[in-house]
Amino acid sequence: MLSSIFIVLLCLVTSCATFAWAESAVSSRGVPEEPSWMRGQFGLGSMFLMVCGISCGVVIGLVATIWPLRVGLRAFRRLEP
Amino acid sequence: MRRFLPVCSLLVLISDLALGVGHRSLAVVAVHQLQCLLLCSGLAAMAVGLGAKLPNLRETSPARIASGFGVR
Repeated sequence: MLSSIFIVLLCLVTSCATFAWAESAVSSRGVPEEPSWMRGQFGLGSMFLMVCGISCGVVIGLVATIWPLRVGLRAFRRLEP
Repeated sequence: MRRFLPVCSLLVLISDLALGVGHRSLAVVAVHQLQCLLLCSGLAAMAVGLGAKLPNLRETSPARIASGFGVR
């Protein structure tokens, strides 16, 4: 369950922002279009949002790596006499 | 994880190249590789750490308890 949540969260955070950036008018055709409501309100498709998404993904990955290892290490140390 | 990460990364890279993602944007290929790395490390750490925190003591073999993924 926890691993499924981790996979979905990481993929959503990085992929949505990157997909929006890749599909945006400027990056794909080189001709800027009139910004849609989504692009205007949330900056969807902008480089900034993509960088934010990737950074959040890195943070989620680091937390998911470091926290369980620390928990496991503490559990091992409690088992030792 | 050390043994399987290069294989996973290579598979993701081959998939991206076969689908033509590399021609469109190399940044997307790089993001896919980063996602693969983060997923592999995160899942491996969760399996090891939570398997140690919540061992499955119903197993008959002690070696399986030590190397298992914990209580489901």
